[in-house]
Amino acid sequence: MFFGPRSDFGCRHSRLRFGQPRGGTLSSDTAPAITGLDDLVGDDALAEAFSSGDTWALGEAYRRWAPLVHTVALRALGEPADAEDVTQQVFVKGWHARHGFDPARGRLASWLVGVTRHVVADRFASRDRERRLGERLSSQSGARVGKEQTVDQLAEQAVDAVVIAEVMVQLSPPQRQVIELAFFQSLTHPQIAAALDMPLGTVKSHVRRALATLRDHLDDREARRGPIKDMS
Amino acid sequence: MSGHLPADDLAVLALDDPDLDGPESAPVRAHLAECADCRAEFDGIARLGRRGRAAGELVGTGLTAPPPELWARVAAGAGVEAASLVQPAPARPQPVAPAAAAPVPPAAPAQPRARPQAPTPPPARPSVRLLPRLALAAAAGVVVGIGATLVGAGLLDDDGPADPVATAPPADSVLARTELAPLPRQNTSGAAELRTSGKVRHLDVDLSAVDTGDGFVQVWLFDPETLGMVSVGVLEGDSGSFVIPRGLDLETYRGVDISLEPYDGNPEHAASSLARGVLRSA
Repeated sequence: MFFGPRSDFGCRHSRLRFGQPRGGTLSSDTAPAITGLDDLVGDDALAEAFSSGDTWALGEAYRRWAPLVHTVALRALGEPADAEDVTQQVFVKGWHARHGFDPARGRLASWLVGVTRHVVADRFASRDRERRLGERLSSQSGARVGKEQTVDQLAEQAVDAVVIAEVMVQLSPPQRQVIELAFFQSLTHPQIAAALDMPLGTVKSHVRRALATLRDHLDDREARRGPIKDMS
Repeated sequence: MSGHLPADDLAVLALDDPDLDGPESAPVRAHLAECADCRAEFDGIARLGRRGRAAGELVGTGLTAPPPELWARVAAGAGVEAASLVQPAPARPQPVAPAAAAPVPPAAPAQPRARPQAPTPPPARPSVRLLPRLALAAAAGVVVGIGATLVGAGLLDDDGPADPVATAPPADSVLARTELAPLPRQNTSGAAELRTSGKVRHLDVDLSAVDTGDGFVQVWLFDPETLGMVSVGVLEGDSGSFVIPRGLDLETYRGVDISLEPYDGNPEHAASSLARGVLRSA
């Protein structure tokens, strides 16, 4: 078994263990049980509640997506304190700006990642200002960090991950297993066949069908990319 | 090289060797340099693979959750009350008594809202306003009791003493059921019921909002642990009844999956599930 207990299969709405940090602060024996509304409220229903201001939806959105937002911020900024500040701002700003979120136009998670992108970019801008002030004072030259592109890439990856997680639950179990190995373990077809003790032809067939479904959804996301950038 | 490369081979290479720098990739590289169609197909899959792996690199090794105390700052900033958000998960899922196996966990009684702006409820305690949604969205979490019910009904215990008079349940008794919750971006929902008449088990499926388009609807049972799948038939219209093979262990294959299949001659699951649920004992 590669991925630990599979009790979440088919029972969650597009959770790719997003709500459950692995290797984080929780030890492995406090494995995820049912700790939230994943099984009861789908992402679409949560998005509707969030946009109409139901206060429980903020807590649930935070529980589902704060690990993703925080991970993007941490990877982009490097400083845990900065990442926490950004995470806080994303959910506070996102809550106050919820009228700008249209559930019909995109996923709540994608929108929150878009907010993250902006808040991180603001943080870099203020770092630049501080750095320039410091340079003037000390006459030191610092290498430009130039992470803005990186945060864009991280945001893209995060939104892709959300979509992939959503598609995963629509795949048949073996298709999902094969794609997890291909994407998350970066295994090749022969390696997957060996790992699962599955004929290579079967692996090929599973991969091809799953990719076709993934492609449809990711292309659809590209077509609807607007919502991720229109947070002002 | 004339004609196009087989689609399967292209997909394998595009995922396993997207830069085509492996020693066996040279002839393919030559073909792709000349064939725009194959090149486009290859690039599309390679790009998909890169995106998938990049996304996997971000989330696949585990996300880093913010420290638990951050939620209080968020709630304060947003102006909502910070009811306890982070609850320690129990080490093991608590067994749920079959009689209490309802969509809402027994430990989470619905709480009436005390005032219009109720505080954010703890995650496992949906408010009363959620309940109508729960009925639609409920997908089973912990599944217990089916096995006991089935054994009690004399249906699993093929090797045991056969005493149909003593063990056979009344005709047409319902052993287990589940809501079939729509998957994201799908509208189809419904319910499935496992029924027995004598020793024959039937799965009754009843769906709403089925749009088959150019395809057809297929009903599957799956095992949430080993991920095995068994097709139990094709559904025509909104409802149907399927005989479950006598040897199929429904304690294992307790998941119900409804998929939309194209007429492509491929008997495998088409990676397009509409709705899903996990049977619980009735």
